[in-house]
Amino acid sequence: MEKKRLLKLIFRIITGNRRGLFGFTILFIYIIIALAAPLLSPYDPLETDMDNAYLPPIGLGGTLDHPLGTDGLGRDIFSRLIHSARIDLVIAFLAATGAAAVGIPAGIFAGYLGGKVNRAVQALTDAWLSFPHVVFAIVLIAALGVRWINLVIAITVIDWTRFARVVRGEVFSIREREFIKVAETMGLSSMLVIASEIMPNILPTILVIYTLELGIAISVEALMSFVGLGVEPAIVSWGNMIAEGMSYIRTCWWPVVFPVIAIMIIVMGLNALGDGLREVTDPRTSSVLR
Amino acid sequence: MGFLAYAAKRAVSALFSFFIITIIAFVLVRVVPGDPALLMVGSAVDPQEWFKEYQAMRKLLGLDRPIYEQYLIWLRDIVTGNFGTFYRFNAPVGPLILERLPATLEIVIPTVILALLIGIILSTPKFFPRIAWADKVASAFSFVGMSISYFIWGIFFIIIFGVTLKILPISGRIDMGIALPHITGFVIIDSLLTGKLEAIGSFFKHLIMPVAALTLYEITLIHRINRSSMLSVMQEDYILMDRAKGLPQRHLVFVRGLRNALIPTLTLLGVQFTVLLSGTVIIEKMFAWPGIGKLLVSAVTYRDLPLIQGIIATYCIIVIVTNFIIDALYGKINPRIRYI
Repeated sequence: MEKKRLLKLIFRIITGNRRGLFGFTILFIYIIIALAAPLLSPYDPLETDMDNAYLPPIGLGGTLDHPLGTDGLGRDIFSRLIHSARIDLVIAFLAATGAAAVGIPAGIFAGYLGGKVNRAVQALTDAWLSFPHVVFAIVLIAALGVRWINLVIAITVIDWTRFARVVRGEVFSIREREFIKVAETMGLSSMLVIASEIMPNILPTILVIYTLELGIAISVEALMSFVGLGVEPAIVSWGNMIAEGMSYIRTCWWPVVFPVIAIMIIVMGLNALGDGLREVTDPRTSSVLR
Repeated sequence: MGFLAYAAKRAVSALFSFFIITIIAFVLVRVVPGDPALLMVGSAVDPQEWFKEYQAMRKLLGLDRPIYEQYLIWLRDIVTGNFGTFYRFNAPVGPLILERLPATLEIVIPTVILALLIGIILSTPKFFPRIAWADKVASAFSFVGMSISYFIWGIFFIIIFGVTLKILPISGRIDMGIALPHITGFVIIDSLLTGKLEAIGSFFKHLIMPVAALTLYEITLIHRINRSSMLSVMQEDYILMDRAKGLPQRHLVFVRGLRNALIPTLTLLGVQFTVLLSGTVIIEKMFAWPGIGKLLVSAVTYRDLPLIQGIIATYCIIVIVTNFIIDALYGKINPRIRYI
């Protein structure tokens, strides 16, 4: 497919469904905010100002100086919120890409080769799924150390099964279809069959799982930082803002509520995008791909 | 195949998953950290002194043995329930975990029951045209609720009911003032046994928010899956047949339809249960609820290897037992897959 047509198709996939468009818009806005964080934020997110601690947000007696108020150390919540988008999106994209990079090949080989490899991967993913993920992550981070890159590693190690399981099932059912048989009869190598015949067919599914995984990674960052085993405290992230804010929640609520809302909006957007993509790329319900 | 053969087959597969899960857990705690003894020995001024201490720690943890032997010893520990000594306080690990386990179950059990009940009930208004609005409300809630994890519910509850309205306590299991002796570890049973009934009221007040946070999250998932499987089951010919016979809609939905629709829901529950266990770790930490999840977080902070290992083993056992129970329920609910 030539480049122009591909771009056009991607555009139609994104705009083909209202829910998907809504989700994509949110993701797009978040990415822009993350990229332009230093330009958008009025203060240094790490700059403390003890004279102005616990300032309320606008509407509760706050001023335009600190539109969302300040936290216990007088740091501007608006600026911290914007800067957090950076590390959170970096973690989300790296972790989802890592999980995809491990899970997709595992799923393809298991599904395509079948037999023992298939059963081994299935047993492995089943066992992985049956162990509580947060417990898994806590022990991994405890072993690796509290650093954001280790969080990426932990999410990759835990969530590759999400890709592997679904891809394995898809490939397993595609494998028996005629066009694969034709390609094999024509003498195409396994690698070529996978690359030219199977990949295009499972791409939509992968895209959906990838989108959902972005949301999961952002939630995991918040959970793990809340427990103190996520992003190192020196870096501003939504999870760290929540973790810190919860320690003086009896004094004021705004340092916690705003990052929670930020997480809710992006996770909702990503879920909507995933739903939209699923609908648009499903040949049974879609009019776009015909 | 008879029931015995069925049970044997299930036991074999349970044993198999036991091995896989324990191997993963073992690799996680023993191999990934490199040398756990290094983490646990503090820094001593004298290098020779330090090395002596380090060697003693390796011996204490059994790290001087070959790796497969370490794994077998750990398996033996799981089976016998003897997890060694909680290093930091020099107390045995087993009783400590047993003491905390009831608190976790006190959150898990009500959550599973409530989420199943409410989730299933919410998925039925679709089939009663007079209350169609209820289905719309439930579906809207379910769509929004899907993106709100237990973590976020918990924080909102703390802010609204705990801090702002001040009607519910935000930490602990019962009021500090109530001294409840530890007999079974379950607050309700202990207070009935000792006659300290005021503990029960205080306990429920503390329980509401943690359970509600987890339940609201689980409901959305159960509602979604059960509603869609009800939709397809209610199209089946046997339902049409029942309707032709003149059975009331209530009977069709709750007796004839639900029984078949529950099968996918039960499958989901098996997967969801591990998510729920994950949830308890975070929720216990958030509400200072003294269960094994909170204990795990402390163990990790203390870097206490025997305690971490013991807790991980406990989770393994919980997971395997639940899977076994769900398998058994399957056979009960669906006669078609019985004893296969």
